[in-house]
Amino acid sequence: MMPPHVKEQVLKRIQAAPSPTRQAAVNRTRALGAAGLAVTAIVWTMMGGVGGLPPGLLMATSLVWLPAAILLTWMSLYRGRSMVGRPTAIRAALALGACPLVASAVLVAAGVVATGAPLAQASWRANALCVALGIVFAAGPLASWMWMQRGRELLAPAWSGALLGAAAGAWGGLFIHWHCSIGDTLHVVVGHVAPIGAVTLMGALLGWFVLPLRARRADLARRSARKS
Amino acid sequence: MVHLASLDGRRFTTLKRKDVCGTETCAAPVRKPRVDLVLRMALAGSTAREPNRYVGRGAPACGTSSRMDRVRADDAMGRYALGDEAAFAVVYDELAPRLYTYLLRQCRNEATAEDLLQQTMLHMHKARATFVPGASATAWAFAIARRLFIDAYRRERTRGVQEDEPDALASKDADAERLASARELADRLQQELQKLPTTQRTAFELIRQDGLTLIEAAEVVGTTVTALKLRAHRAYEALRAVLADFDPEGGAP
Repeated sequence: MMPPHVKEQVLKRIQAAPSPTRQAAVNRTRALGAAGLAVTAIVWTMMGGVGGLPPGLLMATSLVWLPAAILLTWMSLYRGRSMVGRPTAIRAALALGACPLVASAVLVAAGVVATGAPLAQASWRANALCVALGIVFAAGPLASWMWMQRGRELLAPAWSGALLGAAAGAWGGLFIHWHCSIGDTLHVVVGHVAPIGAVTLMGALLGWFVLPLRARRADLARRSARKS
Repeated sequence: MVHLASLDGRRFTTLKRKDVCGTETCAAPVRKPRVDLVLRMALAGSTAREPNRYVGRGAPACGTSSRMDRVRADDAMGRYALGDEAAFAVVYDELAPRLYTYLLRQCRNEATAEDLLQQTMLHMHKARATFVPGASATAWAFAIARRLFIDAYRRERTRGVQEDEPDALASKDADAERLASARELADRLQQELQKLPTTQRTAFELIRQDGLTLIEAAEVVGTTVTALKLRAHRAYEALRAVLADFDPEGGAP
């Protein structure tokens, strides 16, 4: 039988700490969600915006990359009709499959356009620079989305973090792809698509610490005191 | 004489041999109850057990919940998310008893279960803005409770409270022999449940003991309905195989 005083305590505590209603929170949530991408877009613009890739290559790859980024963002932020989010297997499949699928789609699109760009021309220094910039571009969305979801994850925080990372990485890679002027195939895959994988891994590690709902320490301390 | 518990475990029915096979002098052995009935008896628990004395293993199942209860909880949570402050009391009344039973079974400690229940309700309050219209408040609440329990017990291990002496549990109206048989069955069920893989045990407990629907239980553990059905089925078959030899007349052979 449940102790009767618990209800009174709970109602007292919620009265002492009011929470926002859905209407009050929805605008704030949308603003926070868009803020990360907005910061990335501003930084990208300040760095010069669109680079010197051949227009055909840029259009063809963007046509597959942009919808992939939007889809990953939707699947990571929108929980559907379930308060606990999508099944773990789906999150894991999306997080693990994002990088290879985007790479494949981009390669196919580049092949269709057939710009005649060499297979590998860029130096490894250029590849590393684009990877680093791709991660920097992904940092804004990753941080804002992690902040939105902090303390809410109930099932698999690492996989949820990985999916957020994949979505943020997709945007980061897309922005560096738009900014870069080197169009050789290996550079596109290594320098522009690979950041998706790197940021996915970062998201998984961050998600493990930031996302899960945690039992409050004050209550744990009170329990330990009661036991001793 | 054949002793059978009713399906809700609240009372025993005594049948004479005549009622079972038609004659007073029938030499044929009385058929043992089907395993399904044995399993249901075990889940219902002891008939004379006082819930507030015996916590932990074998606490009476609190799994009965009608569709109306679920709809009431979901509706109340939806209204609370929109700003109807009085609706939280309805959410509490609908969900808290079931959550407490679930947490008590996991924690085996009343104080811990109370704390985690409070934290669960508080989290639902804080996150009310995120509640999706039409979502299942029950599945959400159980998922929160489960996550809080897992987190709390990664940090500290808590032992369950000790069972009271058998004499303290007997009600003056109960038959001691029947009580002992029912307790033995419930204990045996709990032992066998602990031997099952965690995924199967969780699926079985959420569906059969906490009364969640398949969809809700799948949400709580983060898997598909098909996968959860399979886990629960495997758990049920494993328990049936183990309890098949249980004889309600004289306990385990």
